[in-house]
Amino acid sequence: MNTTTDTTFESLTFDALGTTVLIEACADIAGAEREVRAVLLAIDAACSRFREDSELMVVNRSGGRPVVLSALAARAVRVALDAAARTGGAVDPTVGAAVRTLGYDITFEQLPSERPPVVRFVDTAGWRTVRLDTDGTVRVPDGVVLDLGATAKALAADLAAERAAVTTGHGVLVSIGGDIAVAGEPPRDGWSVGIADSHRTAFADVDETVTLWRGGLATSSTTVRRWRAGDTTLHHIVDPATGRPARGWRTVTAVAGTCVDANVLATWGVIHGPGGAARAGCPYRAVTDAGAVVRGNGWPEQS
Amino acid sequence: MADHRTRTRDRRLRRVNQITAAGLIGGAALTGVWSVAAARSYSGASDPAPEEPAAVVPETTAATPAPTTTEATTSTTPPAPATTAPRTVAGPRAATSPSVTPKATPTTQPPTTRPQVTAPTRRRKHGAVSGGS
Repeated sequence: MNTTTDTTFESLTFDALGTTVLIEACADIAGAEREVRAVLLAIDAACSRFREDSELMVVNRSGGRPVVLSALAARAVRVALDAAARTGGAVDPTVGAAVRTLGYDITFEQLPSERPPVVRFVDTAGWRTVRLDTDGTVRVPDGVVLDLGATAKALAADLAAERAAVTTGHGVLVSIGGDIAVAGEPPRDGWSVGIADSHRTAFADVDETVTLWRGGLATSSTTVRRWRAGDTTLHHIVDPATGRPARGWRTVTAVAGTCVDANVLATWGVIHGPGGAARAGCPYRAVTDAGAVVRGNGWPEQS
Repeated sequence: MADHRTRTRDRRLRRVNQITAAGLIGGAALTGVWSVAAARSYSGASDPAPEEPAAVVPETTAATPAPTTTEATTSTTPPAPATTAPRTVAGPRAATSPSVTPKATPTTQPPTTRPQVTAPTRRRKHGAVSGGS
């Protein structure tokens, strides 16, 4: 765990959910960390694709039988299904089987850089095949694999930031692998956020810097979680329409009222371009595979 | 003899006429009552229903359409029994309140008209980095 002190906030980083977590707090960083860790533990137990005892894995092994979820797991599934509905199925939690078929079937840290060639691509069953009742009972058809990866991390950021801010009474920023949520009174100069292809980029080396005042900011990129399969390079953002990794847009960042909404717009942007964020009226920055940068809806121009 | 039969027939006919007239009057009255009731019903002026007790729906539930955001309010409701297939409980937490309770709305956001994202106000050495993960 690394700790840093700025003139207006303290920060610390640690690893969780298979990525890096950053907390910045105007005060009481220890209190904020305690709350954030509690949320992360709960989200991991509910939504991990790589823990045999997670609720998500119970659902994926259910063979079509109904499964009663905890309130948190049910909310995570609902968030994922809402994302699919709002994006016309572009951000679809039933891409799990397609992602596995591409070779991403263990944690990325365990994934060999070279995988066997992909001989077939799997059609996505589609989010409409998933039934979630208001009492938290979910039914997923046999063979359909849910993957809550993107939206669950963003949901964790929203919940963690809100909980930490309420509990400590101070402004908090929570970044989970670059999915950022802020809550409470921000520092005098706002929350400084660098934008890059990878969230592991050093702050001094980012492509752009903006100041976030409230809500959430998220980036999706095809430049990370990449691996070779035969003579092809694959990545983890799958277009449900083809079962193949998305192409055309390299990195998309969006700002919205919540980190979940920002994440959905960013992922949608990688799959179909930033039109969704543009129509939603949310600030966005999108980079094509060729490196051209498009900004819109009030995204700050860089001086 | 013929006169007697004629008088008897006339008496029966008058009786039938009386019954028919009574039936017509009664029918007309019923038709009138039903017409008035139907007209009042269609115009929305039917007798008011007894006043309902004050709503007990939580504010967050009332403000959002079901079922998309009802998880928070259903978390304390026991699941319905299985009807067509056995149900699997995902984990021990399924039957208890979650350790992380979703909050309906943020309560700590200060009211502001400032844009949500702006150009950097000053150069910092440290900050969060948003990128692919």
